[in-house]
Amino acid sequence: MGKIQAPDQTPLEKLDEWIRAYEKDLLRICCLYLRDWSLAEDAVQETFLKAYKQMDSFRGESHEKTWLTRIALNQCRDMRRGAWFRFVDPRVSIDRLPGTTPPPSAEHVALTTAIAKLRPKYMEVVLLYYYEGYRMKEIAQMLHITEAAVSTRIRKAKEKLKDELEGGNDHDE
Amino acid sequence: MMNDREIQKKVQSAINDCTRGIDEAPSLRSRLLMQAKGEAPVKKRFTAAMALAMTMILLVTGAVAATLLHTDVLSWLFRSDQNDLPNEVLQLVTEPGLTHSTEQLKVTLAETLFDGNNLSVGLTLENPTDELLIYTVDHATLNGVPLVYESAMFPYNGIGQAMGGELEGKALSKQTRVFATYTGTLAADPANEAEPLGDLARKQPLQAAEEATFSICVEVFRPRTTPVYLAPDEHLNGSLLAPNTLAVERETDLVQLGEVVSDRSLLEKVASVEAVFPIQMQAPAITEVTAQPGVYENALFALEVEHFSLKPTSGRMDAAITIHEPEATNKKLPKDLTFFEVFPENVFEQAKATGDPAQALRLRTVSGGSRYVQGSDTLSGCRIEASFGATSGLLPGGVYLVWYTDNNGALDWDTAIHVPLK
Repeated sequence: MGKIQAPDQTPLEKLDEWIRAYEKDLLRICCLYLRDWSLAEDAVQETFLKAYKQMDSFRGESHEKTWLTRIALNQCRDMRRGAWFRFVDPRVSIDRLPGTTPPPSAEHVALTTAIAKLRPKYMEVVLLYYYEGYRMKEIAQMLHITEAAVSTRIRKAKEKLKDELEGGNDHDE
Repeated sequence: MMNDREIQKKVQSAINDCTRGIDEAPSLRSRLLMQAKGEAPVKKRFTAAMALAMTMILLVTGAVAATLLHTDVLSWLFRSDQNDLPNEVLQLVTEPGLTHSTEQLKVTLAETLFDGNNLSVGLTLENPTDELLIYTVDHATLNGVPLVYESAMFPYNGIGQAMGGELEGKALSKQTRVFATYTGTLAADPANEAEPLGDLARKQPLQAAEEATFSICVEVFRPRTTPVYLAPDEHLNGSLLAPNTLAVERETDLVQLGEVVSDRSLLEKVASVEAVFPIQMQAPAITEVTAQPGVYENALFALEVEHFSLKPTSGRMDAAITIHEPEATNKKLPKDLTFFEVFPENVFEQAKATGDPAQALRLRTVSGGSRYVQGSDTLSGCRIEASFGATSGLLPGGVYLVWYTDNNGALDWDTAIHVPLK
């Protein structure tokens, strides 16, 4: 894909361009992954700083957003380490994310909460395949798994989200 | 069943609706650009850089007692910003160093704290064998009733724990600490939601000197596959590992289990250990400790502390540090300061000797604040506000601040600043 910087563009300018273009999308993914706004900010901050430092090593095999997303997911995984407990309080809530007016619909909250409650390997494919729209081949490369594994995870994630996906109408605004 | 296109539309609508507030939240842009200024993209790893330790001696107000802290760095569910705490925070304490031992495991319940809503515990797991074993903390009970956890952390040690034995001639860590916070008890009927501990406590208040029983189940595993050390320039943080890899980071003995965590295909279960501990309620004595504002110096720079206090809130210690470059001195904050860890005084020397950051108080970013240093090239006037999730342990007589200076994850323990407090 060639160089990621325009000929007269400094690395700092490139970083600025990335932040303007991808900050909010990365924050969304990290918020759902970590279910904590402050941790998501930390994760995104680390993502951009790591990418900035490794800018020279990026050879353009993928789109830069794909590369940044991959770094962000790794960062989220690292930040979730330490939680290997079997019993989880079922009262998962995403209403600690930055508030909105009017508040989101109940159906949207139910589906988003269900996605956030998925185990990480299923949540990742849901976010990458359905929310970000990556193809299976791209996801396989990002997660270092086979396309068959991606397909299996998508199928299982759909089964787990069946009730939330089929329940209620989609209220587009 | 809906097709993928329909699912995509639904997922995108739901997530976008629930995260609209992100678009309105302040951007990280200015903070990020300031961080990056002065740093050119590098092709090599950073080598270990200097760090600066600052000691602030905390003068404890009230009677000296074992105030117990906990860590909730990964707040899975709530921020614990609770405004309805009871006036009195009761403590559940146990005999110091109470242990439960088997052939494969020694469990020590170091501290417990009940703040009226959450039960927080600090445990130490130790491998008494020379074999490489992996431990996971499973369920816990209070007076025989299963507890529901809010958050749990193996500080700096990854998802699972590989302890004991050796790898490529190097001995692995034989001990690790666990911090957990429980919010409720499981209902008898699994279809019902957990009952909050706070509600239970208000219905059946625990009195001082009343005894309770806490139990924790720890599962012991033996790896089927021999772990491998990562290459010297490869780190778990940010690296992608093959799913069926047991990898160990050289510097920290951090084990990344990857897919093993959920599939456990690389582990053989050795034992399931139920450790039971008697605990007793005690009234708290310490509500807040503060640092004396002033200028603190080490051999490298000077810092001005405006405010630093620790107090148990929601079973968590909250602190705010404002650091300014003082005008009166000729010293400048090193330009590559990034962020810092806070170590209780009683564990600092041990942490410094082992190079282990695991016993630091865990920092959490408050709204609008950041634990990252933000400033100009000289960091003049840089100001830091942060909320601390406290580590388990006795309330320290002081703390050390130890800095990272290159985002590399390596602390430098060389320099300390002593600050008298009141």
